[in-house]
Amino acid sequence: MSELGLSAAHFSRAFPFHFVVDDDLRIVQVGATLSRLLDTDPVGHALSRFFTVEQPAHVTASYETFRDKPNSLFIFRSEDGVRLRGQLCVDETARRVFFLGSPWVGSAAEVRARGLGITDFALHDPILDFLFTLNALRTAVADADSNAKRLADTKNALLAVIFSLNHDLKAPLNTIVGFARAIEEDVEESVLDDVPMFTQRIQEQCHRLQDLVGNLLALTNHGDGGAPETIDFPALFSELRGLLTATKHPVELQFEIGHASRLVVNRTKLFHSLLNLVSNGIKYRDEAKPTQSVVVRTADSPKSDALTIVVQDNGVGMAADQLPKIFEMFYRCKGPAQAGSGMGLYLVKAHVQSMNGEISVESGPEGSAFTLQFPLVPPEAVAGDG
Amino acid sequence: MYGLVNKAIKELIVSEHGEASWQRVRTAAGVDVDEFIRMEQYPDSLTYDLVAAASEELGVPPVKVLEVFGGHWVKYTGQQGYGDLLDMAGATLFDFLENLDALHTRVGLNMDKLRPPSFEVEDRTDHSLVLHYRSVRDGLAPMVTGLLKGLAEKFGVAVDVTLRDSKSDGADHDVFMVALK
Repeated sequence: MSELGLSAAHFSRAFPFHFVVDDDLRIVQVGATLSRLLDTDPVGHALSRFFTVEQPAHVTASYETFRDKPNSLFIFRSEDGVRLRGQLCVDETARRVFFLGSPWVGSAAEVRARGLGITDFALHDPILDFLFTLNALRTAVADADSNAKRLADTKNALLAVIFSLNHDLKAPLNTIVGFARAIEEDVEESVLDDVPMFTQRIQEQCHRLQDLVGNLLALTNHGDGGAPETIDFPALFSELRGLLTATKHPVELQFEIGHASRLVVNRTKLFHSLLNLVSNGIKYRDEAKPTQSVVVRTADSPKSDALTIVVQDNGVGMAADQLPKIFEMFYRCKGPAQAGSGMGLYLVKAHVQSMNGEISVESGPEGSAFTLQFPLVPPEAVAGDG
Repeated sequence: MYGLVNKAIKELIVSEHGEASWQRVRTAAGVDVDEFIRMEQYPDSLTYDLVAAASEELGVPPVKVLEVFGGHWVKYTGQQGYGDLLDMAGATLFDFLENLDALHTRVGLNMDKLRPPSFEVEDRTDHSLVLHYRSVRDGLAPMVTGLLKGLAEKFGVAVDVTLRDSKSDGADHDVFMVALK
């Protein structure tokens, strides 16, 4: 092989982060980018003024130790934390040590922080490609994370549906079985006076089940819950009242409409949420109080950018330490014997959030108040939403 | 195309026109993926179908959709973890364009099926340059126009972009004139 030289200018371009020291470890040549990185021309100064040896550990910098370690990976560290990674080549005739390397960085942000750009690196230097690879890796991990989270949410939503179904199916089925037995007995005894009433009850429960099946998809956050629609509150409240007074209880229900704006959300989810909250108000009523009531009240927010629906009861209320937990899956409040599946409020919250709304609660011995708040879509956006 | 592109289209439609609009586009395009994996390769036809459906949904020509998307691509990749890498690629618009080819080559190392476009700068002066755009894909020149305008905005300059030679008019490849205003 013949000896080929490379001019200092070419050498500097090929190795923009290199430096050369003499046998006193004084810098005699330096790459253009490194010189800029050090904020000064280091030629003529001692290497130790700029760099210490970080790797190999325990190496004392000297011409001799550098000469004896041509096979070691070196990391030089500057005072302000720039780390250069590379190798040493020794010209024993001229007694010069060449350091060939480039910055040891883990992110593009670090490179930017040093004020460096793509063109400050040699084209053959793969450190930038390494940064691109790290970026690709981070991207892939972030996508995997977000997908895992979405799957977990989907799983919880499906679980919620199953538990809610279990709960909602049991009561009507038990009732149907009970009335069917009663009819059977009446037929055996040939006393048929009550049979029409029994079949009427069975039909009512069957309608309930039909409604439930109809609403099944809306129960899943990820299923097709139906398109958002403008809520007709008088009709919605009338339907709620009808359903909630089907069974006898002493709780007085009031529905007050106090808003002027237009709410466009999924009606089934809203209905299911209000039904659940009012049912809770009825379930956890305080018999010690002279009258029991649940009030559902709508209002525009002061800034008219949201609509609030408050469901307020004068029931037994909840202790402060329970409040943070009530929206968790499977959490049950201590209370009447007919405690639920622990799914109700979890589902309500999931529904409200899937409608871009928020739910909050205040509670004490005087009762509980749940506040649902829905941001209003600007009128022009709604108009185009045929 | 890689999922990053399709995800950017989704993000553009969702942020400008809402989730419902995106779902209509997706359904009309016959695309059953809703969450794109950014480092995963999808058929090019999926992307073209999305653009066609978006054009239909938003009532603007596909060319306009592509141009808007080109502008969005700059912001999107900047926000999707490529911000520092993009910042490294040049301090001025023209420096950046000179490095654009190398940038795609480097990205290609990690996207082994990437068939990136090629950008070649010619006749650079202080206030203008000629940009040769070559791609194995057809019809994406409007996206480059949007891309150039989006990049100009990123670097805080105003530019005139003219398509000098057009591949769809029989030229070998698209050639843009980029002039600072």
